[in-house]
Amino acid sequence: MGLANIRLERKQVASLGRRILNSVLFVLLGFAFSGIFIAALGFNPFTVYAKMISYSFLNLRGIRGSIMAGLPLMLCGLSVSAAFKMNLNNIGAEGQYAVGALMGGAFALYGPALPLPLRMAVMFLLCALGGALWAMIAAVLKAYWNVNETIITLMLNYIALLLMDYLCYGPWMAKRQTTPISEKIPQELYLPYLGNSGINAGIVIAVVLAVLLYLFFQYTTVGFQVQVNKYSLRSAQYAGINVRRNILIILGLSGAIAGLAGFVQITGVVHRVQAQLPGGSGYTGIVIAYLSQFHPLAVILVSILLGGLNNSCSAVQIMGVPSQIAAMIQGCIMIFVIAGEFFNRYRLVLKKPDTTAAGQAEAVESKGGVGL
Amino acid sequence: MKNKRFASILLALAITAASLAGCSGGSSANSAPASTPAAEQSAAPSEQGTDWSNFKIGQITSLVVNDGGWCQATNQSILRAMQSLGIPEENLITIENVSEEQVAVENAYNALVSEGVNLIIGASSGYAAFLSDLAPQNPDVIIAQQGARTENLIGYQIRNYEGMFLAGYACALMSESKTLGFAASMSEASVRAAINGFALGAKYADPEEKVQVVWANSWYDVDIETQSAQTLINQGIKYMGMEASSPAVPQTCEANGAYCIGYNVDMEELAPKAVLFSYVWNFAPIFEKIIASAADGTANPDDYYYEGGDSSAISDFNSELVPEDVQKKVLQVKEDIASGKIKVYGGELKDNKGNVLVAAGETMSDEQIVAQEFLVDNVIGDWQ
Repeated sequence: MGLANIRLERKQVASLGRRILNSVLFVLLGFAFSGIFIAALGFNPFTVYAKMISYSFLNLRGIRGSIMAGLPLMLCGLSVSAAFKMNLNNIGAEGQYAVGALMGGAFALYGPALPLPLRMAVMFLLCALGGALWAMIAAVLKAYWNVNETIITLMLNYIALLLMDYLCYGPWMAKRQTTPISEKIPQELYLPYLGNSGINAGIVIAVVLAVLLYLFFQYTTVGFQVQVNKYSLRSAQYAGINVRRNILIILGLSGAIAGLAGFVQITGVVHRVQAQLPGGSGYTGIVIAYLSQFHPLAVILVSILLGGLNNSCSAVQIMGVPSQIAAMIQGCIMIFVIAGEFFNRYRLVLKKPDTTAAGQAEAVESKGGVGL
Repeated sequence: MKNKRFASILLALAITAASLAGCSGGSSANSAPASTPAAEQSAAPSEQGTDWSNFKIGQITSLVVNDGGWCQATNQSILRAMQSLGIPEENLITIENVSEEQVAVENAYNALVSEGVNLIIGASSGYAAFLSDLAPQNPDVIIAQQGARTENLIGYQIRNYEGMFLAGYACALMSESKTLGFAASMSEASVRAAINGFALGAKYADPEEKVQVVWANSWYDVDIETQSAQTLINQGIKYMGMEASSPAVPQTCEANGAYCIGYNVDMEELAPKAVLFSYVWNFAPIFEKIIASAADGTANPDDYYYEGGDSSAISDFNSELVPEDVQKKVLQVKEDIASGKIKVYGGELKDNKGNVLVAAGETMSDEQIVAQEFLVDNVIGDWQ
């Protein structure tokens, strides 16, 4: 029996339990695979993993760190998920985050000192608006001329990040600094902490947004229409759905959510504007969206897990494991889980000796259906 | 069907279990981290008899510690300081590749604090703002930060202009043309201090010597640094200094028959036909003082170490390239700087826009040197 005897068969949609089991299994495989490299370097993979988990998830400080690191990831993940509900690939959460941060940051640093609740609200809206405007460029091009939104959102990232670099290295740079960061924003604009947990109120914003998104797609007309669009634009149009309007709404919404990542990060964590602010969160958001199967509530959980994984990088280095390996473990787990996603939709089947022509045709057909 | 599905899960689990078991078996005998080559044996206990076994030092670096440049110079300096004090090498905890942004620095800081370190060394000036905010959370943990004076942090910096003065002086002695080159990284005060030191040294050798500056606008970029060196060489410049971290400048010089002074660490091995000698950061004497003060409780966030002499070091000369008389003259100048006979920033000093910076007979203050925003009059180029 060789590989030729194994074929792929399309599955019915897997149950929730199966999907979770599948993810857990592939996380374990990811650990096993990185374990080979860790062991080759002369470290015990079990102690390394135990350290990672205990550092990030088994104590209050670690959990707090994981949530905080996960916060911008949540918003980027929600942003990507929302767009994908309509089969729109928003690769631009990174750029939308940056523009949101710039517009909100400009107001925080140089805007008028409005009374407090209003000031916070204006900053919130400006961040959302910045992200939405940036996404809207791609949305208009897509809606009216059917320009590929994947390319446009991706390219707009570079423009946004260079704009951010320019401002943070140039006019906004704090005095006596060598790094591209601005002065601190006014203290009134700091997001409050939740009690004495050390976790800022940004988490509330993210969770509320996730719930609202869930309700939006589940219970509103537009939300329903969007999901029809996902399956077939043509039949959606045939059914009298205004596809053009929906593209604008969904990409605008997606951009606004990504822009809010700028809000929570500036007001909640960094308290300055800095050039490295998005720092890849927009791209990690894509991974998170896929890992969460585009389910808004799952995005929250997965973001915290990835945030913790990210933090544990330094814990692993403390043991003497080189930083490159720490980053590799992270990458390995992500790749394995994403690859494992495949097995939610396909399964390997051993060919029966008397395979019929019809059976083969079916296998070929199911292969044709591979795709994210 | 059901059975096969189950079988496939079992198979996957078996692979997982087998590989994990394999890993742990292979490594259990050898779980100690690989040691850094620099300081193999810890020295005998120090004279005061301080017990160093529980004194832990954390360092945060922007690249890896064997980057062949800045981080390596810092790491080796820490290890030398620890060795001479008698602190076991494993008491140094390193967190590498920490980018200069709030989240990354806070995460590294927390990881080090949770390990119970007594002293944290922030090896990149870009950490200052973030560490300064974090320091009050754990007043017992002393933080030493490279760069300018910052609230809540002990500062340290080397008078790089002293070593750079020697570099410029040597290049000017050897160069036949009246123009030297300088491949610079980012326009930051310490980099400008390096350029100015180099130019003043060149001027000391020959009052007509000029220095052409090219900026990379990056701390580390092989492509741009290659272009910087190539640009200078294309202008007919044969001798250059550098304040750039990659091996690009020495290697480009070697490929084009030009010469340079290495930077950060001894770069002779990278380009033996081009590197005359290297400017070497030696933080060890400073770190020894900081560690000692942190250990006996006398460390104060107002402490600021701005040192030259042995810290602003040069490597051994490349005797194939540097004639004996030049070597002697350079060493003589080094002595004269140490004795105060030569004042690098002594008057009269003008910038290259014609402003008088220091009047004749006076010397620039350290505050002005550290935060300098000018290029001296024999530098061709702008700093903004």
